Amino acid sequence: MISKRGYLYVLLLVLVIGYISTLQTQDTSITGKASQVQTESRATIQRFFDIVPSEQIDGDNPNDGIIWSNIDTQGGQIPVNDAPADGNEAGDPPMPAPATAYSIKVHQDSNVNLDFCARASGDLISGGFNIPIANERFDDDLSSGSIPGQGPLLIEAQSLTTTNTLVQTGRNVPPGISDFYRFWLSVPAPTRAGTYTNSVFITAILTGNGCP
Amino acid sequence: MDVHSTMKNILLIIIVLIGLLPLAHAGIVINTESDFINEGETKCIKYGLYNPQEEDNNVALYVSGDLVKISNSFKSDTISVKGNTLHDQAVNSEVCFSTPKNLYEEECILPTIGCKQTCSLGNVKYQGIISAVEEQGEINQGSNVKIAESVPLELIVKCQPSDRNYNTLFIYSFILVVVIIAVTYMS
Repeated sequence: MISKRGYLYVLLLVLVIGYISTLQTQDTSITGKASQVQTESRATIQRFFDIVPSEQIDGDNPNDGIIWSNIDTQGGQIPVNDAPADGNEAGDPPMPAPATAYSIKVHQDSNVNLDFCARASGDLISGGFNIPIANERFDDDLSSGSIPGQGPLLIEAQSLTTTNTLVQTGRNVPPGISDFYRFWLSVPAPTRAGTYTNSVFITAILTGNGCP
Repeated sequence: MDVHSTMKNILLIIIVLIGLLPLAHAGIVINTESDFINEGETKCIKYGLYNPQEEDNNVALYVSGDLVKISNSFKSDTISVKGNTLHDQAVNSEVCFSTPKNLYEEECILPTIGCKQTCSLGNVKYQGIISAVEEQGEINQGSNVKIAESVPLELIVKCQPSDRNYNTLFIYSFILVVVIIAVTYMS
């Protein structure tokens, strides 16, 4: 006659055996009559790129940047509509004027085509005064504008915004090629005297991808 | 002197739109644009940073998009990249991501008992942008401006399907029997 405790020990043993039986093992060894070999194939693909801003905007000296100077002297009147930035037709060696001085080149040490996204930090600010960001406009082109009537044109200009926006759909700039820019600024009346500034961000992206 | 003349004389608006100042900038080498990651795993994605220009520069990687939810930091360590470094000499930098455990819910008969994973909802994807941005110090006029190079990244959290598991049932039963034996022995 098995005691109550004995029954419990038997049940315990059954549970242990049942648990062990659920642990599965798999024999992965290749036995004598195997007719199949499995191996891995592997391909590593890299994409790489770099961009080069032009001399006017590469920051080597304090006068670099996108600058409008003495804007009040343009007809002596405020408001001013679409005043061109100083470098719009200044030339960029070896490209003579009226080529634009603003460009970004896809470096030759790249193996992909790129597009560009642009945004600004906000309005141009001078103390408590501002010039609306929508008054800043730009256009881009794969031509430098060294031939009059070509290159980035005012008629095709778009306003900067605070949202990263594709500069031009399908620009698809290959290595060794530059994307050229021109900038214009409208100053409304009455705009107070001051130095108005903001920030511009240009981001290079792989062609076919969206702006960050 | 009329208002316009006054404005002409004193209204010198020098509008300095300082864009694209960084002068040092880095190239980026992309090794991965889409990868798998397991639940509860930490994985680091490596990028190469190179600089074919003459000037040295300092660069960091920034994470944006859905990837921020699982990134260990939205910004990598700043890396110094010497000038005249081509893509095949790129300096390694990485951004790391950690996924939560038990991202995919199991179907169980009772809590923790008889659970199985069917992966019926498909794989969870985290997508975003990795940007290589040159770090520069503050300047006296205008604002800090950065050129960035952005690349997409997608991390797919693997769901591992499994059959219904009764191991916990055996373990609970084992514990119950041991308790009963102990109680019986003591009585």
